[in-house]
Amino acid sequence: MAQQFRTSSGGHIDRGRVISFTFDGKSYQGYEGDTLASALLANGVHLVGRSFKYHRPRGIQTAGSEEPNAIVELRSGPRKEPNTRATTIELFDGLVANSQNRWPSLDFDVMAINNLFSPLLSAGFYYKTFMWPASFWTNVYEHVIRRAAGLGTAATEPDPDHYEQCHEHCDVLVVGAGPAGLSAALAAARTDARVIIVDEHPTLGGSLNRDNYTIDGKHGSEWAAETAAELAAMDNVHVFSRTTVFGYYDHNVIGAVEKVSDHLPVPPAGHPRQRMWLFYPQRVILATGATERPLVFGNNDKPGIMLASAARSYVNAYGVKPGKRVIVATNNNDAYRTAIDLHRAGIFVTAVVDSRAHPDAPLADELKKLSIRLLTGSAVGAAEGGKRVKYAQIVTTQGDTLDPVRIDCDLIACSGGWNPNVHLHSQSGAKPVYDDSILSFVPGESRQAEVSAGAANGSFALQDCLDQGNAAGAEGANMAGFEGKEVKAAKAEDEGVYALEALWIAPTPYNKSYKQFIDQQNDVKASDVELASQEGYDSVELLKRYTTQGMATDQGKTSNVNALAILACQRGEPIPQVGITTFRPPYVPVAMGVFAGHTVGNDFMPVRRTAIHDWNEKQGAVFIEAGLWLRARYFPQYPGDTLYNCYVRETEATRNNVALVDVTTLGKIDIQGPDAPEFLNRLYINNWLKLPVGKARYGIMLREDGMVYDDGTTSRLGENHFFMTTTTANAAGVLAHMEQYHQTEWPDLDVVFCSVTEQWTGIAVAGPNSRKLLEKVIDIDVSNEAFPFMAVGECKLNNITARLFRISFSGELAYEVNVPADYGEQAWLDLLEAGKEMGVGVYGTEALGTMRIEKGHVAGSELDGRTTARDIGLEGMANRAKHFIGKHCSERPALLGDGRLQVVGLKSLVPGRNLRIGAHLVDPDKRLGSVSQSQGHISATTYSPQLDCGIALGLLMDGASRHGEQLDAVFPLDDEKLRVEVCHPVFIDPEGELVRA
Amino acid sequence: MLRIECPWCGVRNEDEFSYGGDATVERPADDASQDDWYHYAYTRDNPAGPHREYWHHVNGCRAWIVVERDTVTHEVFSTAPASPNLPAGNREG
Amino acid sequence: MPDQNSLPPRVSPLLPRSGDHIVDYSNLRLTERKALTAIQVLSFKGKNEAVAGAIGTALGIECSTQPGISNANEHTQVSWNGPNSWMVVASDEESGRAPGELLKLLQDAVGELGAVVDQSHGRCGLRLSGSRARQVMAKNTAIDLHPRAFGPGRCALTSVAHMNATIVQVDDTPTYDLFVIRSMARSFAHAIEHACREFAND
Repeated sequence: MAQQFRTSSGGHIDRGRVISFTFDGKSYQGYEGDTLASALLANGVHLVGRSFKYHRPRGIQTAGSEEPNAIVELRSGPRKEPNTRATTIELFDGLVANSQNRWPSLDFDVMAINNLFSPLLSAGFYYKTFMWPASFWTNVYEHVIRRAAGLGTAATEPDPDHYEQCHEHCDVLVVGAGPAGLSAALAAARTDARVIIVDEHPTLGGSLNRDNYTIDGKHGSEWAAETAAELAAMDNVHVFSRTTVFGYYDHNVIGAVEKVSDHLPVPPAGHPRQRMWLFYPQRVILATGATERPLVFGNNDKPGIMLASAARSYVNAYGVKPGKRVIVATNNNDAYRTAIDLHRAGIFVTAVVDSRAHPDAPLADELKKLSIRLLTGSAVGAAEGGKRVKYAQIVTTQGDTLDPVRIDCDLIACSGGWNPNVHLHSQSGAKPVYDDSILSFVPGESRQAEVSAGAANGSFALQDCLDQGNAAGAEGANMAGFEGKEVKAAKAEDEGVYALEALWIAPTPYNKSYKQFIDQQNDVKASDVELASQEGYDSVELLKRYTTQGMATDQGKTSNVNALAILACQRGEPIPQVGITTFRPPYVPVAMGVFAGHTVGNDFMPVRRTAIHDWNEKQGAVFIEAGLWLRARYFPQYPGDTLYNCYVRETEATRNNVALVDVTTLGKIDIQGPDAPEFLNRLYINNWLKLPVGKARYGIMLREDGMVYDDGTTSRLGENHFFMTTTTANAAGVLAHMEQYHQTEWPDLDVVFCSVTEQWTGIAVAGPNSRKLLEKVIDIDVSNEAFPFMAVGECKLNNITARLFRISFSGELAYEVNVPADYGEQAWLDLLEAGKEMGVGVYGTEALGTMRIEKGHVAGSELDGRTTARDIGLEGMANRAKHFIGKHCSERPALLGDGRLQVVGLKSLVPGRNLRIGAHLVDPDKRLGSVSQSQGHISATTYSPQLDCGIALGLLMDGASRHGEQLDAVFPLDDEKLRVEVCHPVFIDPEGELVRA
Repeated sequence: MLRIECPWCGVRNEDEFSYGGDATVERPADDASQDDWYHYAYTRDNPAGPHREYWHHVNGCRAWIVVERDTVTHEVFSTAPASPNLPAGNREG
Repeated sequence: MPDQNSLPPRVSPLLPRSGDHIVDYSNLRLTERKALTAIQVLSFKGKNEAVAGAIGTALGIECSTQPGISNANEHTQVSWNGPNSWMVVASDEESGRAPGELLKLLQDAVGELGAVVDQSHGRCGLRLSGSRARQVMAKNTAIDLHPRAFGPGRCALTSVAHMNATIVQVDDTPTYDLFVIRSMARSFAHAIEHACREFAND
């Protein structure tokens, strides 16, 4: 029979909307408004999983996000989500869920044999059992443990859904929309403050939707619905349902996850699956409620044992009978409501077992009226049954355990009291404090702009919740600068007082040894805590790590206080002395995708493209990432054309004729002001005061420690106007470096500057025919006389106003043309058109690299942060009569002495063999036994078409004076050794005649 | 995440800024000793507690600012322009 | 001054597209502001007020030294762009100015008081407009664009979709002008367009 455990009426479900779903391959039906847990219970399914360590059968313990047991694999294929809590999954049509941690089936699980070997699996068992021999750890133990103690399995295909991140600011943020949260939001909103209220459930109301309260003469859920509607209608309020605040960060930044589409089979088009919110509130009101704690007794983990509040939630909110014959076990008044609500729903409550000798008299009377048996001074000592509880053994709390009373039941609803949810308060940096009146922790002194209200504050009476929320809302708004007239909180109908007495562990029948679970998700038992304490792991932080108590995905929401209390009992100290562990984000498990948001796959990082990118792409260029830039690396001409073929061809085209390369990515900085020359003088090692207008100069910048930072050319466009270029890699860094020195060290310099990298497309025209090409399209005289090496001038390229620079990275006669970027592609096409008749080529970064190595120009691989200007052979540029950054530290004796790695050229002496980047340079015929034998390394290599051999730049100890020596370049990873000859780093045209031609 | 008040732009998330080092260190004069320069380049205190740091509003107005911050609690006590010569912001509110 | 007719057409950094709009929903529109002129002005030491005055006089638009303020007439915006900097943005098509005319105007006005730097080709301008625009922005920037904190005439230099950008609020539809560096224009437009998709069928 379908849903045979459904009540005939009641609950916040839509009985008109039947929903089909599958659990472990079997089809069931539920109603809209159900959770997976409530729908399973409606169908009488209690056994939903196997435990982590002992593979014991487990059921549904709670009705909320604190659930330790009912952990399932949700959905299938790429959307499969392991370790989700059945108690928070909203039922949708076609939902597929599977139990976890069992094989071959939930009913018959082979690993349940662990239950018999449990003495081997006690506290610290990882540390004890798998200590020796060490080699067994990777070969044997890990495989066995991983298979045995698993949770769910992750999807193997990429997640097809989209996630995103959003930001919102407000004056008052209210976390939790129970009675305290709703009245806080309302009070704050009435002052016109900007209010955000967040709740993890689809419907606001919290406990008001699960309990039978009366507020302002209405059922609590009705009041909640009306209040929620009122809030939703206010312009200054943003209501977030299905949203869980998971993190309270520094400076009042709050992280939350909104489950936008989790309640649907698939997200609607364009909608994210989940969305992360970062909230920036002035004030935070934590109305996060409280979590009931279970009782610790023998076999307290059996299916059919749940929290008392959960049992009545299933009845009241979902119209589900969680059992037919129920024992309510408690140490406090609150669970009496479970007995009463279940009884009213037509469920047989066979007994209320109260550990207190003298329970609250009015409540006892009420039970009497309903003919519910009340056992006082008693506790469930143990539960018995196989895959579902069958009966309970009741013992007295006064220690008479030899005459237990057996009561048959299929559900034990238990309450060990309530723990305020102080997690976010603790995350905010504050320390919760122990409150003896509720035997639990309450918020301590605030460290950030937050206050707790209601049950989260340890106040469990409904009127207190409403009053505290109301006051906190008004006060929060007030502190954020909003005044409102005082409005009284809603009026709750009188209810009893919450009172409890400690019952941390129930005595066991006949004092027999039973498994008494504390942390059911990690299978931590009371005896594990005792053992850990005996073995000396008796501080709370050690206990946690030794027993794994509280370290499962539920973070011990139901178990931490019980564990602390039992540890305190062991140590014979009061609980406050034992302390409390710090709660850390996230409050609930959050999918990694939510943190990644939009920035996955191709959107992982922004891509920077030059104006010539599309043309490059059309030519079939192969791109390389240079920081965020995509640069053309080489241009294959036919299918199967290789990198080697391409760069050789492109290099030869340049050296023998003329070719273009896109150099847009170089950093470009416009510098102006009366003190611009002095500013440059301090930034660079060389002198800038005398650079004539219309000339460029190559410059070197050091860091303060004397190492080379960056290099590039800077041109003087006007008396007080300069144009700097930086390397592609350091473009952003150099600008920040300049801003830092200008603002923190030399604010008196009258100079301004800004990046103009993006304004200009840079095209280098290189090769012996470059002048001939340019003459066709440039309107100024580019002859050597009129426009010599290092000349700079404004010109027109066809009609485009351009800047022309006579500079060369390739070592050939070359020019660089800068045009405004929107004309970049046109200028490129114009240059190609002009060069067509002479057979102009194009080249990418690979050929660029080849030519710079042939020319001995240093780049990032030589400027590795450890080389000085002297090491790279450019100390001659330094003007040490002036001050510049790095001047003093570059004069330290060790940097001037022998033994420095200096830039050299290297030629492969093995015909047909190219050298390898990273190879070490050692004396000939020596093996590289240790790094100490290395005399240096190869930093950049290529095949030089010009020299027809493999060449390289390297950093060699005292290399400048070792030209002509032979060494071995060894690459131990591949057992490779190649004989090389050390030479001057400039392989071609050492006099620089070509560039000046 | 830190929230840092840029004297010009207002309170912004930490990810708009980049950390720029210890603001208590003074850059030596050009004629200072090698030793002074060595210490300037290499040695820094690592205080637990209040500290003055440079931050660069690199993803914003690009100003360098001095942030007084507690390195333990992350509390920010004050922020101010690093340069005395940049026009002060008369930001609203 | 270049002859307008002899210049090649300016090529947008965005991919060519068929329609006029990148996003065109009933409540949301994302459009490229093509071929803008964008001039960055920086004041020399102690000349901030003078430069602001010169810009204001030259354009007939108040140039504020107050951070986060953007003033505009029908075709030209003057936005605060840093402690000593402004960005003047105009559509030549709307203003009727010849290419280069605005640059010259500002160079003449500012003279020796500061630097006038052409960034026209270095910035991509996008206009996001519609009742959902603020929600789209909330997915991409951490700053508060609520009407109580931001509004027409306000601008911000901040991170949008993890890229440096300038946000200028144009009206209270709301309409935002977003400026990002040219090389990142496609990644930027893609991120904004993606953030809009949720509202396609509102």
